[in-house]
Amino acid sequence: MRLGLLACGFAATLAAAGAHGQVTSPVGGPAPPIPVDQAVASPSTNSVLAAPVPSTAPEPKPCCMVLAGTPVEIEISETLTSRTAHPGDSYELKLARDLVMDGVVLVAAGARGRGEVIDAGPGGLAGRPGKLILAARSIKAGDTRLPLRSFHLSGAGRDDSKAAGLVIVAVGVVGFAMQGGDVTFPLGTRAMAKVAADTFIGAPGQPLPTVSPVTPDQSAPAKEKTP
Amino acid sequence: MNLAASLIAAGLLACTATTVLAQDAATAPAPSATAPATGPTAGQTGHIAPPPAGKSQIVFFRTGAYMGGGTWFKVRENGAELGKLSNQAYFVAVLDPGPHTFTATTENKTTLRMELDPGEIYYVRGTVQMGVLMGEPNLAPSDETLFEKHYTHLHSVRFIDPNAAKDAAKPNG
Repeated sequence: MRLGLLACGFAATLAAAGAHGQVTSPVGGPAPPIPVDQAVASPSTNSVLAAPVPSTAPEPKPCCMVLAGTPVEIEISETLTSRTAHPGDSYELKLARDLVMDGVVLVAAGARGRGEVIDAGPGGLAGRPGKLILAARSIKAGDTRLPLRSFHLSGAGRDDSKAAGLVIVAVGVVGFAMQGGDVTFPLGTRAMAKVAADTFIGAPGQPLPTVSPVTPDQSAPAKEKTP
Repeated sequence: MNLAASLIAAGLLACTATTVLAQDAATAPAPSATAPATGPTAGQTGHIAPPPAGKSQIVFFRTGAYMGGGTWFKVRENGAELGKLSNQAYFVAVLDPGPHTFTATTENKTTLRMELDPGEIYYVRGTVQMGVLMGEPNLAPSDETLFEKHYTHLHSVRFIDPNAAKDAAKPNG
């Protein structure tokens, strides 16, 4: 009979482990990175994305002011997981799409920047989920640093506390050993942020933007205002 | 013999239930990573009004659960109570932008660090995990989608403004 009891216990444990074995690829983790085309079509993000960049985008011209609150799409340049990240850690990010204003590319996609881990914690005993909260700090646009805020990239891992509770009731303390899921943001994960303060892109003291993109049908040079 | 058979049957039942729960967990709405937890339009389409100018808002909520359903905990910052989360409760905390650290305690303490930006709405889900003597609280970042999904089952509880409490404590004159 004891053998029967042991077998029963192991069966329950194995079943639970099988059901929750995907600790490293949690349900609570992020979806794969959205390609730009799909990201524009996504109902969850299309309301805040910048306008699609035309294929004949003009060359970046260091001339203009980026206003505070301007939405920018950011892509993280490394994989971050709640299992290894710590609060205060720095990570690399980049601009996912050209920052365009009045048809002028102010900052080209790919401009590099830094972010910071605000909070992180791995999945814990008894099914406790992991957590990961990130912030974007700035993007480097030439010699200028474009400060960022309102980067909403955070999440919690899979919560296995219900299952752990049931295993504890059915089998005993073994259930406490069940780990909650971690949250992982893979390389290339995108989210929106905002420019934190009015920032000149280009050398300080330059006049406010008067440059418009040169298109093939504009043969005449644009007039420049003199101070 | 009958006892052994009963125990095996109970074990199989537990296995089945655990698997079902696992499937529930797998199909639960995942916290979005590629989509913002709270976007700039948050609060305009949902039930939470935008924050006052220059302020940030956090919606602390707890969805219904049988496990730990009788357990409640207080969400605090620097020891000051912001609100009490019982089963299926929520409160909206209006706070100054900047770094904040929230805690909740029963037999164990959980901590959540956040950085709030002006004009934004954030969502934090409180849950109760299995503990040794009683349920343990957990605070984790969440999103508007999950809150709105459960909104009709939630009841609002009072937010205790720490600034108002400080003002009230000051002597007049």
